[in-house]
Amino acid sequence: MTTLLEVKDLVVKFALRGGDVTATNGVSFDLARGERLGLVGESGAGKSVTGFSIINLISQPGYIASGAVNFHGENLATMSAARLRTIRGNRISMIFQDPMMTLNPVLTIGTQMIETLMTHNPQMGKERASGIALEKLRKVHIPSPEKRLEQYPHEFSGGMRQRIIIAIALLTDPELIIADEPTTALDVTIQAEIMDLLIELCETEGMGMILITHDLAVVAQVTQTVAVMYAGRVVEKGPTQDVIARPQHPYTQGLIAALPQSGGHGRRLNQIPGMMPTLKDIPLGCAFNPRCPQVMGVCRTTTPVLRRADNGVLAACHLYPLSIPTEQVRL
Amino acid sequence: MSANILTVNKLYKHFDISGGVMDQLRWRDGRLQRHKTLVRAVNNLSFGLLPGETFSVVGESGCGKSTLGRTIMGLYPPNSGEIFYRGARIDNLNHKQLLPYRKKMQMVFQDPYASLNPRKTIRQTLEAPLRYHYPQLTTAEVKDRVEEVMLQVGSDPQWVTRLPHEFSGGQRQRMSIARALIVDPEFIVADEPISALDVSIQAQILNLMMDLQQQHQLTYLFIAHDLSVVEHISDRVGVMYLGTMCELSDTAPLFETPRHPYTQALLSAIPRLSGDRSRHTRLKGEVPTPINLPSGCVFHGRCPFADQRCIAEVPPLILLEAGRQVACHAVEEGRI
Repeated sequence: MTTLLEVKDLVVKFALRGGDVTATNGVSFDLARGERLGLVGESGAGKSVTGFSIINLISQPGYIASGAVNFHGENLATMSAARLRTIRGNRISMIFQDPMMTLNPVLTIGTQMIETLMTHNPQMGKERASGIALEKLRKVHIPSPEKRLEQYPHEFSGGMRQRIIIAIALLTDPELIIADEPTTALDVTIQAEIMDLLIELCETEGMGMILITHDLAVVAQVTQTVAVMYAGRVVEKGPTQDVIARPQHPYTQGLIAALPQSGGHGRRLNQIPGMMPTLKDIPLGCAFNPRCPQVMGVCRTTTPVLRRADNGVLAACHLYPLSIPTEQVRL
Repeated sequence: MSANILTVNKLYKHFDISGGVMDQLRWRDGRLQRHKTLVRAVNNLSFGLLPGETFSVVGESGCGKSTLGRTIMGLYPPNSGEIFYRGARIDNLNHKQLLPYRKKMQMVFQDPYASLNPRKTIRQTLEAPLRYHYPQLTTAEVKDRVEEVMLQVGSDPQWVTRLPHEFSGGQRQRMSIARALIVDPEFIVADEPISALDVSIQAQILNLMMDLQQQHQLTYLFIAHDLSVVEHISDRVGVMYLGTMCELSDTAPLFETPRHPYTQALLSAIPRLSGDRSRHTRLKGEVPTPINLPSGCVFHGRCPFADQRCIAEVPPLILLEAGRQVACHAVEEGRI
């Protein structure tokens, strides 16, 4: 497997009046060509910030303080804006959560799709561009695409709009798609359709995907590997099925146990006491220590690094002995 | 029937969105006519709630589940049909006559950021309904009651001097529940009370709601779109599609063997942690608008089992077995 994207010790900070706060603190992961990775976490865990900073879309007052995002060996974090434009929206596409906010309401779908293509390739003629647009609309299973190209976003339902967004992301045949909560605004039957579509496209087009979501069940359906984030750090990562079947970090364990399971009617759900700290007051040591049922003395003083737990999953937790330095552990 | 705490009988709620008189004028059949555009949000719903149970209404956006909850609470007047609370009809009462029922029926809303007044302290928010419904209480009694309710919802009574913005989403939802609870209700309509919350916080609020139900013998009408949550907390479930109830059943049999084709599709779409996607049934097409309701069974355009009868005739909710009602011609005829 060749590495498509390598995120290394990414630190993103936001310069606020009271001093800088750290939104992601040393996030690292690799993505192979055609691999689907899930970034899971609750609000404020830093998963969207990670997604945005991959394509350097972090805007003021946020900035990438250190770390690297290597795409085919080139560091996107330090790249010139001009060079970045040949990659962002071209070889790496992004899908956002709210399909109504992403599309321009006063332009037809066709105009928006053709504009995207011609921006990335000014030599392309209009005829050819609309041909590609049609092909992509067919690929996301939109019925009668010729007619649909002439229509405005408000003429589409939520699920259809999300299909259009995906079609736009596909226009330039990207190698990587970053999908930030692509199904959160959708109903469950539509969500299932969109997930099927994303998997199908990754498989037929050989695209890699980073799926950012708060929903572990969605991650279980779509991705091969998963990274669980908490308060700006990756606390656990590994093959999705292993992490979900045998979570190693107490936070992941708590998160999975908090989900209502089939057949558990009326039973009390396992709850994680307290809530995620805000970025301004992340506790010393392991950020999860005030909520952790297995907290030890060392947790309050030392921040744990990712280590290999029993089933080969990596967990940032002092429960597991520090045997292998993480640099040598590749997923 | 009389054992029900709440009975809804042939309830209809339509919204007129046609605007002013000038907007309503249409040229038709050679003359000017007034034409009304109606959103048929709730159509012919009948069901009853037993004391102490959790009845969940599920369905996708626009199926009328929130409208149903709000109509029951008297926030919307129904167009026709009847609502009974402990045998007494409440849908035709005026504001004053409704007052004693307002104490018994309370509501918790979806968005804890929008449903608490940002300029009132928690104490003001909690005291207002109490003083309104129990004017005879002394200041000391009101204070005690506020403290008691704060403890019941698992919050620190010291926090009552704070404003809503000082709390997280989960804490705010506890305050919303406290506000509903403070007048000592019997029946609570909870409209998506946890869908704005994070997973670990959802579990806290669900546990709280289940605990409170046991301590106070509350009856819940729980409106939700998250089916795994519904499966966890409900005794009975009503599945809604385009303003009609297509299946109404005890929870366990519904999730084991859904009978209505829409219920089957809906349940198979739930993402499961096991990651197994093989059993998904996919629906064709999209939900029609409630402005132009399909004839006959509202689901016929997307149903793989639809035939001529489904297009022509509205299927009634029929009793299939004890605790199980389905509105489907195909199920009734034994075709599925």
